[in-house]
Amino acid sequence: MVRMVLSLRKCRWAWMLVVVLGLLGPTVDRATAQDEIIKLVIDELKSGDPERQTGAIAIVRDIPGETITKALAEELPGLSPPVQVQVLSTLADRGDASALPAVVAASDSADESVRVAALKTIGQLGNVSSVPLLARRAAESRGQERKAARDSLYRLRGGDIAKAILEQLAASEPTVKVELIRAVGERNITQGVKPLLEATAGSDRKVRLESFKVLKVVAGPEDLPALIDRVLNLAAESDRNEAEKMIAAVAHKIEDPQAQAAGVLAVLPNVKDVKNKASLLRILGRIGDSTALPVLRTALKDAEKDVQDAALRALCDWPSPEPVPDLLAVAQTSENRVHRILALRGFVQQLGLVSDQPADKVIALYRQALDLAPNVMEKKRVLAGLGGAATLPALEMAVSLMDDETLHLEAESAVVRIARNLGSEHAERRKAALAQVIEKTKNETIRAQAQAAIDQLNGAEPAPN
Amino acid sequence: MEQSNVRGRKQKLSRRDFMGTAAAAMAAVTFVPRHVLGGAGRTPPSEKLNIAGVGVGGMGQNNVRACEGENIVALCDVDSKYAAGVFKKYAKARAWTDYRTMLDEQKDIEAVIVATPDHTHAVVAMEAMKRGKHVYVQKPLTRTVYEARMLTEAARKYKVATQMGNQGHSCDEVRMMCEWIQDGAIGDVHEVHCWTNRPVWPQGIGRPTETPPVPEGLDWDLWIGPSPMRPYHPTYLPFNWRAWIDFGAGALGDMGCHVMDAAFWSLKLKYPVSVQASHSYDVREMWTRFDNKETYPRAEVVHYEFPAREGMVPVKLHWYDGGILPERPDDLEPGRRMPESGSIFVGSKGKIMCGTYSENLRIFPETKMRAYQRPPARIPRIPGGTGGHEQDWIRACKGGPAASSNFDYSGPFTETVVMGNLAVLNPGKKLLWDGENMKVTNDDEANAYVKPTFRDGWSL
Repeated sequence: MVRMVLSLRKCRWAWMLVVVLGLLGPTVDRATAQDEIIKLVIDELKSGDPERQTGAIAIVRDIPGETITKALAEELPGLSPPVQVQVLSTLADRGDASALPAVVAASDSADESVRVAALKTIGQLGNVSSVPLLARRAAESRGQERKAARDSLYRLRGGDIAKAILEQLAASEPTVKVELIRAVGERNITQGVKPLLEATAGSDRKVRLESFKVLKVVAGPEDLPALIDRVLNLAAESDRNEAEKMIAAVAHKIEDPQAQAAGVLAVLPNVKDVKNKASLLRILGRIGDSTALPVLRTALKDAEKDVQDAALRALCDWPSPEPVPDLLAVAQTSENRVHRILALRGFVQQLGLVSDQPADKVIALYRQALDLAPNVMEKKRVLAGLGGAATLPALEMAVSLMDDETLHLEAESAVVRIARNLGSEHAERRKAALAQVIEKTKNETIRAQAQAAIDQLNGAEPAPN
Repeated sequence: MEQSNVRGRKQKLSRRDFMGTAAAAMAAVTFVPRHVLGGAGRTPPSEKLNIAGVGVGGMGQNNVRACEGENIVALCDVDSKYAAGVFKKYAKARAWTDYRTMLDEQKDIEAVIVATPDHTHAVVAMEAMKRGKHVYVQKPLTRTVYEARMLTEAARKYKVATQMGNQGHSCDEVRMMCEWIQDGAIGDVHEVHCWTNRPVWPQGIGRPTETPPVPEGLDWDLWIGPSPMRPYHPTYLPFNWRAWIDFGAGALGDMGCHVMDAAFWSLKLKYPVSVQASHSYDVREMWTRFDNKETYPRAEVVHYEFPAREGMVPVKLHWYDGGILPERPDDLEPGRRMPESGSIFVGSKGKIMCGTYSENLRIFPETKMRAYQRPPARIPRIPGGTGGHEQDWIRACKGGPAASSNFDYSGPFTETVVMGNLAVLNPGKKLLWDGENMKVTNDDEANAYVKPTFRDGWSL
């Protein structure tokens, strides 16, 4: 009879019968029936027949109890890699942590797909003891394996996982530390601010940089004084850029945009070291809080060149056009050639942000920029900026430069961009300008773009009745 | 006869024992969940599906009602007072508070409707799918990009029938839109404008400071679920949780899955290459702006850029909400109103305007509409249109073709919709997006919102 049942293994109904006998039969010894099911399942998993293997996997997912879990865990190493992957996935779904040791062992498999599946399963079944393993794996592996280890560090459940990560962080070697720091960020472990701040003073550069990056996520406005202090006492100059980005990111979490620079502004008057002063000025530029503008304007005239430079760069990257007059003044009058060029570039960039001035006035400023440009390269940059404008005067200015031998390519490109950006107005003038581009340009790409823009303009008109 | 068990110990199993229980076993067959018959199997079309509803006090009751022809065997809600009416109406269904206990203990459930607030869609749906249950999940599928990806992959792994609750995806009109666009009715579409009249709930507000007691019947800890704990306040529920970054996806997440559906489908969109946004802000006193970090803004504009794909030109999709509308096209006839919520598709040869679910789609001006030779219907229609959205899923549960908004479609679609919130929460920056790897490549700060932060004890 048993052989008959076994011979019907390919039939799903027979599987169901086996399960029912095992679970519901009142006179059949339950343990016996369960053992029989396990044996049959294992046989199916070892059968080499993918359909039977899949059928077995589907069954065991639903059978409760540790016995099945233990059996699967015991058999795991002896199964073929593709089946191991499926069984590992099933063990994850079963959620029975008694399988964890076997899963951990599988994470050392010679087969990469098994290692990846095991690492993913640890994310579901793991506990605090899994933290060091996952962090080490993330540090030592690449590709899918690294991804699986990192994802599992993110997904580990349990209230004590955060504590485990922070404790492990203190004790780990640098490559592993970097992974744990990353996990602090992904899990948003806000208790990690203090240890990460300490890590930014350590000897390993990668650890320091990763700490600065993650502090952007986990630190809050209340941490700013400590973070600013770190910037003023860096372990290495090469950290400065990342540290400055960190301060700006945390400052941006302050809800009132005109309070975001307050922490830096409070500290700045007392900072004498030139590098640190420059750093704080650059941070003010990243933050973009208008309350910092007077300080930056004053710093433009500082005796120290590096301070002037930092202030200028902060104004050049300002997120709104308020510094436009300051930048124009530097572009016109600075004795420093580099500063004149930087200011000019910043000036042009911010002209693109101006929205509350008449178009003619803005175009006059573009013409000033063109006059100030010391060479063809800078003139081309001005034209590139002009191309972002969406006004008729901008279009006319670009058209007027199409006959310039050195600038015609940029002028043609600017005409096409402006014509496209002008919305629904001035259709005839736009078509005429585009037609001029088509006639004059020697560049096929620009010609095609101009033609496409004309086609679009023609397509938008109502068809005749 | 003797049997050897896996440990090699011989057990006695008599032929009489075996045969004697066979009859009982045959009778017992019908009490075994159908999914044991064939793994995550299919209910025969002639039989009724055993459905559980989770989060049934609000929109969920409409979904449950649409499935009344099946067996409603379980209802779960963390607020027994809010859901009291539904529990009463389906008195035969077992009532639950905790979906995990429900799934653990009630074995006859075959399919689950998930209509909880957005922040719990993923954890509930995942738990159901892991146990082989088919799932119908309200839109947006999830609150974050990462959760949408996880659900999409899980649906494939567990081979269950899935559907997102964007019922407009079942209507005839969205299919017509696809057919017209792909027929070239308006040429190459290079721009789409989508807008909604949402939010109709308060947004741009700060966290309340009062801490009234939790009302009787509400399990606040369960309601909070995986999101960071905060004290109860009636401003969060019901319905208004949509505003809060920890619980909802704002107007974009709430309505994008409806309004942007036609664009996503007809233009074969997948991942954008960039997104940028700007939004309204509060002014509390002269020249003092207040940037809210708790709720989505009152109004926003989001710009997505999609690359060229499958013979289609690059397209920009612009999203507007909070009362902001796109510019009224010059060639839209005077007196013709733009809907409160809808889309305008701009092509090289014309434009189409439609409502939220592509209803009233028309090429404009009307002269062009009249001149257009409509192509024959080639995309299969769903019986009942929007009203048949749940039935489309039920047919899939019973072995029919995949539902039209199954997670293979609605997962990537939701990723695109909700990744717009990365830009909303980082306004004024153009974020470059690597969709395959779910990552903003030029701004680390923005990546903070790709994955949720799970409260201790919660995970996917």
